[in-house]
Amino acid sequence: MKTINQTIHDYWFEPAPAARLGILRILVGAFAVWYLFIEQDIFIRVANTDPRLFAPVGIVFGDPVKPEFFPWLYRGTIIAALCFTLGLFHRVTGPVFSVSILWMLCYQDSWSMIYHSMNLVALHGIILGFTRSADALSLDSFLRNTGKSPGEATEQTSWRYGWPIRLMCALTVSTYFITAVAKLAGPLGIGWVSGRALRSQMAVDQLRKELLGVAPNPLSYAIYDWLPMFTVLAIGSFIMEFFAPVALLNRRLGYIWAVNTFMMHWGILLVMRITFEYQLTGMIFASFFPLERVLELPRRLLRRRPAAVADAALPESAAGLATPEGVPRATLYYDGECGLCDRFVQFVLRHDRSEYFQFGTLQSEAGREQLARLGLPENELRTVVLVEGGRAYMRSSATLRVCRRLAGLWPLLYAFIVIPKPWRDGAYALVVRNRKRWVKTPAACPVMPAEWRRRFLA
Amino acid sequence: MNDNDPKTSGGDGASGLCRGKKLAALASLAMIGAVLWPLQENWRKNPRDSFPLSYYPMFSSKRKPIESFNYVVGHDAKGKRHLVRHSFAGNGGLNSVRRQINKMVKEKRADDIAELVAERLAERESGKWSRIVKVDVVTGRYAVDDYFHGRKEPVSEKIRASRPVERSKKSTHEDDKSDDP
Repeated sequence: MKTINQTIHDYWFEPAPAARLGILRILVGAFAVWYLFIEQDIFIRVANTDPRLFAPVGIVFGDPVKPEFFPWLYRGTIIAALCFTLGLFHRVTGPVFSVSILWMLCYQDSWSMIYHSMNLVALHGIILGFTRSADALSLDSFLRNTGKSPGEATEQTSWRYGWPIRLMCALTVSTYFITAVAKLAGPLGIGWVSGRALRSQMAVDQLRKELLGVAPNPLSYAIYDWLPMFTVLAIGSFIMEFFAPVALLNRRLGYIWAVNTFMMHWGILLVMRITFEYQLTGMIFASFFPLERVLELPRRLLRRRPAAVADAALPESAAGLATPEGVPRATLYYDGECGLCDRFVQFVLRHDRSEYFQFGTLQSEAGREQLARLGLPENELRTVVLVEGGRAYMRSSATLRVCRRLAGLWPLLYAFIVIPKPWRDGAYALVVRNRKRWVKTPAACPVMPAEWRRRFLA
Repeated sequence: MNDNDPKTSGGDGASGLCRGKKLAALASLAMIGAVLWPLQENWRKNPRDSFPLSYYPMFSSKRKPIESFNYVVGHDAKGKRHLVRHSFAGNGGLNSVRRQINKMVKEKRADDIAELVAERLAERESGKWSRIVKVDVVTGRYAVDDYFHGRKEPVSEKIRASRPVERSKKSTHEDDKSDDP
């Protein structure tokens, strides 16, 4: 039970860079500003509609706002969205933006039509507005850190920036999953995937648009008789929706799901001419990606000596270590009192012909610093920690990434990375629990050749 | 933020969550629960959709071979039919206006739609819409499959309301480059 709790805890509170959450704030905020600008005319016209058509939805209640008052509320929402995007006085403008965009979208939907495609704009807005999404890449952080290195704020890593991103991903996949359940619970059940329902939906949508004066979509007519194509589309979209939660299990699955679902929305646009702005711009899927890497691009382009930058991220004690020019270096921290870890390190030393790895024990000063940086207690010895390319990997991810760099056929083991992380880490935890029983700790340190010894941190 | 400080970093395990993590966990559970809550609407007798918490029913319904639609038809002086663009019949986007028309027809207020469309068309002094002399709000039944195979006539059509377009000579609107009112 403890292992399950720990796995959930580690998953949900996995540290993330402040910059990633900051970029998400900018993207969602910029989308909101753009949407409010382009839809301004429609919003204001809708607010002037016959009050008898008003049926409050969501957090809106009571009677409609007076039409002459509404434009001021609308402008206020745009200003809040601008402040939120810039990260200015976020403690106040963040929550104000969250509530005002939610209210504005609810108000628009209170005039007969619910725009489901905007649900996640409101939900993502709430998450970003009420969390520390302006700790980096914001005017707040700029003002707070005047005189400090500009990169300092963006390089902060903490669970405080991790869980809001996890929550954004979880809510995104939840909405797709609910859509799939509605199809299963509907009158067609699993028969929905035959494609007939999808074709009928497209046809009815096209017909009613034409009856309301919109020009026909030639593509709808061209593909109407290709039922097998609708079957494929229906199966594909149902899989994307029903199995959406799988995207939370593994980073790569998240990428695959996000890209495919993004393409699904473009398919919907082509076939049905339905424009889901938040989905089509890809903003809805942004939380699945390590966005902060975008910030590294200019630095990578300008960088002349990659090894020099990699060295900078390593502890000072490793600075004097000889490394082949242009080859990046990684540090593997392990439990220095564990026989299995000791054997693993020797195994790596034998197969690491490019001398890519250096080693340190978790009990060493550098190891303790690394654990602290990851938010782990000093006595946490149940994981190896691999620091590579400025990022830290733990448990099975670390082990598999080490295998990737070894000589011979060992890199093939890296294929196991496609297994969802919780499963891999579950197997890893099983080995760790029994490691001292299975492999005895050596009484004395093994004698190593000098070329191996110099690869250990002091 | 100093994540090396165990008191503030929350660098604890699952067994002893710091206050910040407890709040985060609680907020996360509450939001996920709220988003999943509408799932139960699928099995209710009278399901109710909302925003931003929805059960996303839009693509799950079963379509009939013959479907009914409410729309507005304009007639010119020669008796030729023209499907009137949604923007004459209400405010907002296409789907919003479509829903407004459906609601008003259901509430037996088709007269109000006809009157609004006639008023807006009366402001046109040139172009296609200036030739419309009468509008009908109708409910048409269409065989969807036939429609997509070129037989575009309705199976049946019922006029809900009718209104002549009365143009005032004083009207000053001369621009008719746009289809929109």
